[in-house]
Amino acid sequence: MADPIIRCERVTRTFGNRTALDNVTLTVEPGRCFGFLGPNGAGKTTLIRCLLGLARPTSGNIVVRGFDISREPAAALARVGAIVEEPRFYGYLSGRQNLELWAAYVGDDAISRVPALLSRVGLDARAGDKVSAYSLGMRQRLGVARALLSDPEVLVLDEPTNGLDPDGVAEFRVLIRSLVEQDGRAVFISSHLLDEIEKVCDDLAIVNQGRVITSGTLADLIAAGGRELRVECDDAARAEALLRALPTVTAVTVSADGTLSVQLAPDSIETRAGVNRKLIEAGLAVSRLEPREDSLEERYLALVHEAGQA
Amino acid sequence: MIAVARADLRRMLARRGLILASVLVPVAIVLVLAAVLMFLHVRNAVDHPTVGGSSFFSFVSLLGIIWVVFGTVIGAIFGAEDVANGTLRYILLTGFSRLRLFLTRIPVLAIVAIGVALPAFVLLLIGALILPHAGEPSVTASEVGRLLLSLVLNVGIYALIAYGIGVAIRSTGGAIAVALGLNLIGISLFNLITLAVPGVKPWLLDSALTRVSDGGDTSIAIAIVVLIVWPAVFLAIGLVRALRTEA
Repeated sequence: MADPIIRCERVTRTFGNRTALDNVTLTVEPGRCFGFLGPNGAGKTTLIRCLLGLARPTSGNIVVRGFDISREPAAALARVGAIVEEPRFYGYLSGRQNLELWAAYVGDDAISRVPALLSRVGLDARAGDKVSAYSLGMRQRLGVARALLSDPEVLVLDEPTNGLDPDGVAEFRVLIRSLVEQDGRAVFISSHLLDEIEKVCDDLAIVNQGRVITSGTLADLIAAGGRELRVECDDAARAEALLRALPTVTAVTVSADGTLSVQLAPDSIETRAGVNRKLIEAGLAVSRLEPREDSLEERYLALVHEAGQA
Repeated sequence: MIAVARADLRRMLARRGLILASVLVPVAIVLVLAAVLMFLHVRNAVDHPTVGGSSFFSFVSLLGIIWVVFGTVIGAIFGAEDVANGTLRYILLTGFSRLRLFLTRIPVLAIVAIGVALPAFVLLLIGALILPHAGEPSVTASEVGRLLLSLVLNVGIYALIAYGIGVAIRSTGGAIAVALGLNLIGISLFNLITLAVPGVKPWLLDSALTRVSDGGDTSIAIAIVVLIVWPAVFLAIGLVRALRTEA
């Protein structure tokens, strides 16, 4: 596996008595979209500000592209693009003039990338308009174009779809996936929007009250949750008694229409087939056996709730 | 750094309202002055024989306060805008350091603040040369040089002080208010110290500006030191804040 493009090790940030980040450890791999999911005030923006060198962690290390952000910020940020909180521009300049200005700060041949970037984010037709006349969605897209000026290996986006209309959200999602799949860039997105994370991210960490409560691939995270089977057969009462006796079954409920909801232990790999075999061996006619995994929303709510109780 | 300075200069000049007002208000004052004097001259050339010449050019001192006001506003905006606007963090994310940013903008600010004053200065000079001034001494090259030096020093220094204040205060409106208050009233109030301690007079900014552009019997070396130290103090305050501020 390639070296992580972002590595946070036991990052803590306090503001007076308040701990905004508490021993946060996570890694972002190249060519992956990483979601940093948490409720408002969980510490998402604080971590982003720390990993971009805009704020200093109270303790812990952040390594970006192999460089410690505290000791070698210029090297670490040389190929990092970002939108923090919201994309800010000079409203009295046009979109193109804004990008040309930032291209001067970036240096190298960034200026030569401006037309292509405007085209990529779909702003070439409005590039001559003043940014003060842009909608939020247009400013977000211009923000992505600015973040791409340095041809970054990793993009860091803080709540990038906040305030966008549904069309804008969909367009933004396509843009992000193209950055990951076509360009091979890593994208780090913080958000409190489950739907957004679920649709664009490969990996994620869930943060609550400054602590990472879980992290991993999206698929693993969902699979680690409780699993359920919906079963319909010709004798619900017998089936219920039979299934309750199975060690891999944690709970069984029967609805008014006779459908059984069977809660399976998360670590069992053959439970679905086992349940089916058991029912058939008992002479029951199984007409439906439908697996149902937790949604990200259910997993998120369960984990945040557990963390809150702990 | 030159590419950044050039880009920042273009950005400042794109603030059309501010730049046009800074250029046109002094120009309008010169034109109104010329029109009023010409009217008086045409109406009664005996009582008003002179319109141009050295006396017309001396209106530079009248415009001085206007130029200082605009230089102060431009300096304060230039210093405070990026933090107030939220654009500073995006500049820093390019890897361009706070120190380089702070230093790059000093010559850009001087060019803009002095540049916006020049059209009115040139117009005043043209008026002094072409308007009737029978019997009045014409404008000399040394006088032009002296007043130009005065313009450059006054506008440049007050703009730099405002820039330091702007960076330190980080709010555009607040920076403008504080810088105008300091530059127009505060620094003059320092002159009251001379009533109690006459010996400090050479160390005051106003005295040093007058000494360098108009001459005098105090030390020119002290005056030059004062002209460096006064803006340097405010720039240092701004720089300390710039280096410590979380964007």
